[in-house]
Amino acid sequence: MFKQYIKNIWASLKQDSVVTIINILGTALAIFLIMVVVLMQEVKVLPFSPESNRDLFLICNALTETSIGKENTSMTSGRMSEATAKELFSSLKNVKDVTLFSGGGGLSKLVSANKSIPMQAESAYTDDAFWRVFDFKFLSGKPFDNATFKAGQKVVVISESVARHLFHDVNVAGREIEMDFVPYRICGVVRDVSLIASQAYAQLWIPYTTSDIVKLTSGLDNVKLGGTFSAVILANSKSDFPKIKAQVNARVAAINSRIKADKVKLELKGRPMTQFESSITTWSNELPEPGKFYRKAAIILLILLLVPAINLSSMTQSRLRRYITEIGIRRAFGCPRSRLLSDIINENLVLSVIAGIVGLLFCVIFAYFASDMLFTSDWSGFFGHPTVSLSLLLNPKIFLFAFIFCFILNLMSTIIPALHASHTNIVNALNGRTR
Amino acid sequence: MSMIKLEGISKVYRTKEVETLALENVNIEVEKGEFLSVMGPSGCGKSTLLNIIGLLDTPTSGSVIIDGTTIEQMPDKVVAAFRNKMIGFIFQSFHLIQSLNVIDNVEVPLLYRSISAKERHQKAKEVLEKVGLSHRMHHMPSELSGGQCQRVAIARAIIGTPEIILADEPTGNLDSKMGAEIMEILHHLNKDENRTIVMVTHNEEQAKQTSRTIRFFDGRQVE
Amino acid sequence: MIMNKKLLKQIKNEWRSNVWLFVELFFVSVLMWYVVDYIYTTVLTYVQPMGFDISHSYDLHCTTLDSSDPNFDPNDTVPYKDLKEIADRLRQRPDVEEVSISSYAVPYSGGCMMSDFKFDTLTSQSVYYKYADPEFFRIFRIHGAHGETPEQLSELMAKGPDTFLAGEDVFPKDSKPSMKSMIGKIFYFNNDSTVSHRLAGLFKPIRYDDFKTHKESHSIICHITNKDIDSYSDIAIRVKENQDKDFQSTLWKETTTRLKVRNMYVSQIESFSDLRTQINQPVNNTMRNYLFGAGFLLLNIFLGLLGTFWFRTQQRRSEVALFKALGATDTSIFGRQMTEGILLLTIATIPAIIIDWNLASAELNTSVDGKTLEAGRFIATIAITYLLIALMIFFGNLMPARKAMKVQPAEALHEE
Repeated sequence: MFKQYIKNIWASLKQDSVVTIINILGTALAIFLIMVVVLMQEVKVLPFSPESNRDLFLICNALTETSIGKENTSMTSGRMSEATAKELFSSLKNVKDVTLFSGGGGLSKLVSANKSIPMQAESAYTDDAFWRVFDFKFLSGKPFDNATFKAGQKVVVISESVARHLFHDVNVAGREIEMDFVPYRICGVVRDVSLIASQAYAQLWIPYTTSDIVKLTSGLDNVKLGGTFSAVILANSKSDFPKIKAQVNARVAAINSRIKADKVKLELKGRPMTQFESSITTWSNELPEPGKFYRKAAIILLILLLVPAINLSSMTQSRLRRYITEIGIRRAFGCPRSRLLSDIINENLVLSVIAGIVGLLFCVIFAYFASDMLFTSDWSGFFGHPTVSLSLLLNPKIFLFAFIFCFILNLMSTIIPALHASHTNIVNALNGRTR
Repeated sequence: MSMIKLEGISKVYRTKEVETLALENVNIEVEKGEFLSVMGPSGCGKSTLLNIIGLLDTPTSGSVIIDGTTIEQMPDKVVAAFRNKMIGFIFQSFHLIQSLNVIDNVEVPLLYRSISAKERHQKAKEVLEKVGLSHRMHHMPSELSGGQCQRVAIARAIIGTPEIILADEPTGNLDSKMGAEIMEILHHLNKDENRTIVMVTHNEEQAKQTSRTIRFFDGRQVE
Repeated sequence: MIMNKKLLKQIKNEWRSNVWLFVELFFVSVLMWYVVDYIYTTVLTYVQPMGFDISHSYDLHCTTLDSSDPNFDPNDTVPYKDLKEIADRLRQRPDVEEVSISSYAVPYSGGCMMSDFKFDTLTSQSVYYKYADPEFFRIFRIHGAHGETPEQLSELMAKGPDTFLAGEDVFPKDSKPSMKSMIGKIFYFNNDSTVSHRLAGLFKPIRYDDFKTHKESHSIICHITNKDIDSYSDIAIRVKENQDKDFQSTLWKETTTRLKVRNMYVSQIESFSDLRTQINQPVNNTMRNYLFGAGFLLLNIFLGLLGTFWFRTQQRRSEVALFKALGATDTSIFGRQMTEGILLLTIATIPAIIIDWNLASAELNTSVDGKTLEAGRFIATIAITYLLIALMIFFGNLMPARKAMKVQPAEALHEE
């Protein structure tokens, strides 16, 4: 039957070239836009270096303190202090590793080498587990280990572009640079990290034991649980997530019983979160609400599908009119309605998929070259330009999405004309009337 | 038991303002192996009669009984199966699918049976030989003469070995020589393969050669 | 006119084949209006005067050394002295026109301080409290409400450490007492009666950023005192017009040398136009999304019309041939087809307007200063929507209508 579809489509192209081409363009356009929208969300969730383990991450980058039992309830939320982060996330069972770090932008440093022109670079303060949780690509040297971290040695891992700016070379492990006028030794150089890797992103990575940043705390009254730290847990498998969360919740309860006397309550608001939940949550005191996200996404996708579906429907209707005689003939010789229906829908599906591939191709090319325009999130303009690799864009998940939308669009735009055509009175159909 | 039986068949066409009575209380019986001619002036309902027998249209009242089975209120799948297995239609204007070649056109009825493509192709070749067109298998309908087109239509109508063949003025668009050829094929199918044929025609000569003729006038059977 | 009546009749008779087109036009009209409404209101806000000038201006931030730093000077406990000295050094540069120190004041700054502003029985909510030195007015070329030049405003501010200037729209125009009459009077902020402030003058309103309206940007600028200056304060520089070439990179080179005083050093230099781009990012992102959406909708109309009318032209060949044989000109054939499309749009727009009106009344569209439905705005957005879709109909119909024009009567009638 497939050969038959191709034959019909080819005949369509030759006979009704304009309408068929418009059909293809309309479908390609719809798939293009839908996939752009899908990509903009997927990029926040798909794994890639150095966040290749995104599927196994549990992320906590905020806590909330609320005062209880007072007339004026006050609330504060933000990152965690080192002490609190340790209390909540160190030595958890059923985890592969846990990293505590202070980063995510906003900590820029003045970096210079050999009295060269200084540059401003984003820095992150991390522990040694950071390098096990995230998979950075080292171009020179290696990450700092536990001993170095504990000793608070002044070492730094720098990104490729920082190395090139200061030394015009990437093999600079062992050399010295000055950061905010303090000398550090470069222990490793890594490939540049895209802004889209929101947890791991920085241009300099320093052991947090070298800085006072650890001592910064904030919070309500004298309960200073807040600070500048985030935590990322690397689980062994997704099935461990509930167990890990249960342990964390138990520790939160323990802290709460301790601070109860100060009339302050600690809440993590659904954290630690999965990568997906993290991608749909903006504010630190916000609970992840997948339901709301899916509803909003459904509405947007529905509109993106409905408008072209109506378009294509009218064109399909017109196309089917041409074939009404043929439809009559087939029915006269015993083609059941259901078979006719599925034939029409399937044939159109082949056309849709061809058009969908065209649309997807344009989408990928557009996303690659216009990544600035598409993936600059609301705040990231402060830190630079997002980059996106082709391998990320050509992910099988993306292809699957594109195919599913082709299928849905096809169904939406063909079902009514097909039903109409298959229920036309045979005699009328044979005579070219569509009633 | 008769092959085709029509009991009290009436067909009314209704539009907003006009009601047309195409057939009024028609009762006909056709035995197996009969070659029936239906004659009458234009617009008197002959084609409508054929369409109803061929299950292409539903009567406003009355029953259609094919080979003992009453076709009434049946699901589309069942009726379609009947059309496919029991009936072969030959139209006056051929109604070949222009975008398909001869052999693909002939295969159409077999697409709705569960047989392999190879078998289908084989049967089509056989039946095209029967009508003398095996040398034109891969031509397009636009490349054939009127007589050849009708022969393809006949091949299509008989490829599924239906019991009943319905022909609506099969020679209406052909010259006398081609028309004679077509009639020869039809008679052969009737006599040698015992198919039941109902033919609508204007041609007295042709009607005389069939086993029985009925006449229609204004939707009613006369004579 | 007879043609159009007949056309309307024809459209009515052919309503079945027009159903899809009608549904699409209706649906797209509503969606398009929503998008146009957002873009219209946003653009309208964007083009309002800012009240300041950021050309050739740069924003500097300083950082204090870590206490663990070997160069850390434990005796340096007055950050404002360090900052002031850095500012002085900058002021002495030949390419620098003016330098100012401020907190929560510069345009496009990320931080802000907001509170209520009271006088007598009048209260203005959510007013920005900005702290700046007199040079601030000169750098940003802020003008007075009564025609004062930036220099004059600067002098007014310099009168004393307790002076402040207010935007002339902080209280409504018709407030009693008027803002003008408040000049010279004493104010107390945040119910703190220990510190008095004197209103020295009014300035022309300053907008907070390109997408905030005047109503959302009420502000006062207070004379900055030493206790307001810390390492988070902004040092704003205006560079002489003809010397603003690679200023940023030139200055960078001095960060490790001349721009370091005791524990404080310049760690960030950005042009205000860069800051402006960053602050505008969220709205720019939304605009981008909406523009994509609008383009998508319009393209769909274009394609849909092209397809439907192309097919229709083929179907109607004999009809057109007949008209031609009866004496219709090519242009009139063309015009007729065009009119059909526009008529369909007009008919579809009527229910669309009703839906749009309901959406606006239910406050489901963009809110500007709390308003969602205003006569001028509604009419303008409906008109723009209609025109844009009509334009697409025109372009979509161009090829098919021209094709209809070219029908040869004899040929077409022969086919029939």
